[in-house]
Amino acid sequence: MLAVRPVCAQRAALPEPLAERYGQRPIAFERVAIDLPPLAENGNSVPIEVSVDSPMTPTDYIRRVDVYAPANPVPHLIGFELSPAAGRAHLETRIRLADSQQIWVVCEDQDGQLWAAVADVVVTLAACLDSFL
Amino acid sequence: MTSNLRTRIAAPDHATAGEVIRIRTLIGHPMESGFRRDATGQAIARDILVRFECRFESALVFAADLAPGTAANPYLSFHFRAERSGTLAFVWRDQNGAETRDQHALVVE
Repeated sequence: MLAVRPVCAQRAALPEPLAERYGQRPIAFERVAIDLPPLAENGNSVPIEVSVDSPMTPTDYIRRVDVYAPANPVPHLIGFELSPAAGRAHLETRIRLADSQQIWVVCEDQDGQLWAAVADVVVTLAACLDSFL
Repeated sequence: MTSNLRTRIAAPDHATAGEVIRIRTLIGHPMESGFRRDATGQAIARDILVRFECRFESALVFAADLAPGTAANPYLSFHFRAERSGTLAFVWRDQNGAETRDQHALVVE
């Protein structure tokens, strides 16, 4: 039987670098979608797409998007700053992954409310391998 | 301080008023993480770009804080709501403050 993981379980398991940055601020696991290959052959360059359901108007927009890989030597991979002029909260880039892990994307709206999503990725050949020898 | 890294901007030249266009940028940079060692076991020093900004007629549209976890030759794709004609200006800044610039003219009909 498949168990449905409740939102609070993810919240309780907030990894260290995120707990440090966001503290006790409430995080809703809604509105954010991560598109990441479930299996990445080369951790040196893994494509990632993030889209946030937002009208991107001056009164209702996403102002910040941060991507974390808690098992990397530097877990904060990239941060995006958006303005309403962006029109759409849809971003693409390429990241480095040191290991198979969960990728966290945390977004902040104009009022400072946090929205997040988590995606699993398996990495067959890790990036920056030397630091783990 | 300026540096002249190879950049590529992919964005439409024309748009209709209110249209949301996609902008893609690429820059040639190794994004040396600082976690690698060379053949002799010496640590290779960190050498990364730390900031990217896209402005339309000086107003910030989109920015990115880059880190060792950003892949080499940083690729970014984002959007922009075109309301009037003007110039999109792009700047990448490395950890020492050296900047590479590019721009793209947009005609809104």
